Amino acid sequence: MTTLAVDVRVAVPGFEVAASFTAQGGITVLSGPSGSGKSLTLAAIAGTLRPARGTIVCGDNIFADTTVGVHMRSQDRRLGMVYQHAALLDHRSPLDNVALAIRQANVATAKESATALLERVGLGRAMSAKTRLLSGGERQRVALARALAGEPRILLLDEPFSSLDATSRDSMRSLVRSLVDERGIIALLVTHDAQDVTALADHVVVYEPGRTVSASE
Amino acid sequence: MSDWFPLWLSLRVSVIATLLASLFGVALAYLLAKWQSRFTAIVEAIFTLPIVLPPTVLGYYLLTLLGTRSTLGQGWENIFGSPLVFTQSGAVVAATVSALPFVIRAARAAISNVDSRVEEAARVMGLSEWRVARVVTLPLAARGIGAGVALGFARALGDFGATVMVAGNIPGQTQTLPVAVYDAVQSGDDATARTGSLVLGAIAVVVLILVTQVFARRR
Repeated sequence: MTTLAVDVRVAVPGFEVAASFTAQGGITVLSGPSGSGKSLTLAAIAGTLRPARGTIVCGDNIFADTTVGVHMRSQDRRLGMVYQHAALLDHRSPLDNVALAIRQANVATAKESATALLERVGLGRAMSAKTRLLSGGERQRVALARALAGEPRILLLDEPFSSLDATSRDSMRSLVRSLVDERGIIALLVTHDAQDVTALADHVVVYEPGRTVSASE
Repeated sequence: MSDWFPLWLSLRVSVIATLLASLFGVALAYLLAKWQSRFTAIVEAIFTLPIVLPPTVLGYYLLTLLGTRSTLGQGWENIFGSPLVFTQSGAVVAATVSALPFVIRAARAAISNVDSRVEEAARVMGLSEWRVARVVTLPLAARGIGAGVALGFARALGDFGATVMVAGNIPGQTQTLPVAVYDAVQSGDDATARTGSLVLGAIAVVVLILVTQVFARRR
C-alpha cells in the first residue's frame, strides 16, 4: 500500500507551520483550530506552495525535497482536490468540468467516464445544467467527481463540507466515505469540525497553531 | 459624401489592426499578469505610451523606427519589395500601436482578476499551463478582454495623428476617414466633413454601448 510521508515546514508571510505525519489508505483527518496551518500543509502536498524545508514523499515519488531542490509540478502528482468553495469552471457544464480532469486524449471516452462519475455522485440529471446555478451541495458533488476523474492516488479535501447545510453535509460525508473505500486511495481531510472527525476519521493528525502535535490511530 | 473609399479603408485597416493588437496584446497581457517582476512595470509603461503621447509624436517615433532609412524599414522593404511607410500597411501599423494599450490594460486587469484558486484547481487536476490558460483563465477573462478589444477597435478606427505621420494622406490610397474629414474641412467641403464625422460618431457610440452593456457587465 502506498504511503504518503510528510515532514515539512511551510511558510507564508507572517506564518509558518511545521507538519510531520504519514498517511496510508483511508481517511486521515487533519484536525485543529482555524489558522493552525492545515490548509497550508495541503497546499504544499498539492504543489501549489513550495515548502520552506523538508520532504513530501508518496510511495516511490518524491513530491518535494528541499535538500536536493526537488519540486514536482502539481500536474504530475496525480492528485484530486476539493476546495471549500468548489472552485468549478462556471462557464462550462458539470460534465465538462469532470471530463477536463480525465487524463485521456479521446474526448468521447472522457465524456463517458465523466458521465459515469457524475451518476456515481448522484448528479446524473444535472450533467448539462448551468454550473453556476447548481446548489452548494451539488457543486461540491461535481467538485468531488472532478477530483476523482484523474484517478488520483491522493484525494485532498480542504474543508469540503463547511459551506454546506446539515443535510447536504451528511450525504457528502457518506459519499466521500464510500468513494474512498471503493477506490482504496489515500484521503486527507482538513476540517475544524469535530463531527467530521467522529464520522470519517480512520486516522487523525492533530494541529496546534503552527505545528502538528500528534498522529493517532 | 460621394467617395466612400476612406470609410472602407478605415474599416479594413482598423479590423486588421484590432486583430493584430488582440493577438499580441492578450499574449503580452497574460505574461504581464502571470510573471511579475521589476521589468513588468517598465514593459507596461512602454506599451501604455500610445495613450499619453500626442498621436503625432507617436507617429514620429514610428516613422523614425520604420522609415525607409531605418533597419526595420529596410528589412520590410527587402522582404515585401516596397516600403512600409506611406502605404496602407503603414496605416495598419499606426492603428495597431494605437489600439494596443487598450487591449493590454483591459486584458491584464481581467486576467489578474481571475480567481487564482480556480486556476490552481485546474493545475492540480492535471491540466498543463497552456490548457489552464485556454480552458480556465482566458474564458473567465473574456468579458474584460472583449471590452479592451472593442475600445482598441474604436481607437484604431479613430486614429488621426499617428496614421497621418506614418501612412500619409494620399486620397484613394492611404486616406482614412478621420484624415478625409480633416482634408474636407481644410478644403471647405462641409458635406463630406459632416457625413464622415457622423459615421465615425455613430460607430463610436455603438462601440461604447457594446463595452458598457455587453462586456463590462458582471456575470
